[in-house]
Amino acid sequence: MTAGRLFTVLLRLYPEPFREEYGGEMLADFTDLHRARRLPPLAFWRFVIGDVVASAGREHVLAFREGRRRDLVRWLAVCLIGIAVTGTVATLFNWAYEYFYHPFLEGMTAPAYSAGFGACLGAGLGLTQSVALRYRLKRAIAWTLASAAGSAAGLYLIGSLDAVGQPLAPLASGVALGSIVALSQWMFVRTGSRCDGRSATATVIALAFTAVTFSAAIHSTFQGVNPLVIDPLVRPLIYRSAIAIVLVALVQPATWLAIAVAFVAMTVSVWIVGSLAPVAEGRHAH
Amino acid sequence: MTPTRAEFHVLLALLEGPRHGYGLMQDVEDHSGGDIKIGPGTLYTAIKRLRASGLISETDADGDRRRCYKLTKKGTAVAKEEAERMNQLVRLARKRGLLPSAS
Repeated sequence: MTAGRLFTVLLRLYPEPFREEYGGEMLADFTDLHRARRLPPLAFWRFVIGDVVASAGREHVLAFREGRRRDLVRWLAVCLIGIAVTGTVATLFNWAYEYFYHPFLEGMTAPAYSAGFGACLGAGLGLTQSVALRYRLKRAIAWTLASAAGSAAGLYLIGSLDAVGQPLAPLASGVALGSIVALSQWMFVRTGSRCDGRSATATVIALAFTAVTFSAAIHSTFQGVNPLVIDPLVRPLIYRSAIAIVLVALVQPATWLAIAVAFVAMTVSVWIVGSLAPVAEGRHAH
Repeated sequence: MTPTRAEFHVLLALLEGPRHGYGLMQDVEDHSGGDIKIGPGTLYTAIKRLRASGLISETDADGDRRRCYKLTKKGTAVAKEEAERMNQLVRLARKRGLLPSAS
């Protein structure tokens, strides 16, 4: 590898806008610096790498601060919308189940019931992502529907498996659910832009993270949250499956802690989505 | 704005006229007798901040089509203020016996 190529690799440490603005000039200056090298090779590279790493770190901190200031209010609004929509839709689903209850439904299995909640969870996540990525209405609707469909199918599948007692069940369930939702988003709302792949990746990470977060934090708060859900359909799952805990917390959170955790999980989800899929790309992804 | 050490060196180098990036790195090293070396990363983060603050601006490219930078009026004023501030500090250090007297 030549010195120029190695420096080009180092340039990737800088934030993209900075690299686009100054990368060419920096490479030209580095070439001159390397040609007129006044230091022994080892000292020269130590100087160059130290300089790049330190300044790239500063640039990332600056970029983060600028972005955070600009987007803070929007992120908060997006998180609140995500929580409100998910909670409302899921509660409506639960109310409808209770209101229209019929003995016929007693034969309904937990996986089938999970699919309904999956749709609610996916709709909330999809809508939140759409707002975070500033999608326009038509694309936002398609994205939300695809997320809801993927999440319903994913939870149905996960609920059908008898693996919830395994040690890595929360993480595995989260990754599996995220992958299915991401696949659904990617298949049905693909535009061909880089944004699609990043958003789908973000979905996998976000849902996995959400499942683990809920599993760890809501364990003590779910009791008595929603008897209909806990008894008799989901009871075998509720103490062991992070996904079930996510659902209960989203359907009808019993405590402020549950709401706070839901808020944090949605914030992290939105932050991951925002980091992986730049807003500018999402805005033009039609 | 208060320039950092690297930014102040860039301002000082540009007092002699427009320079491109490599020229600035050379000037800083030469003027400091080799004590201070500015790498491309430090230089361009400084240039970015100085440009954003309106202390330097881009000027016509030189012979080998590189981007060159020049000091603005505001940049000259800020460099002067910073030099004055440093001068006051040096006077104080002399007064307290930290540095030998100028005479």
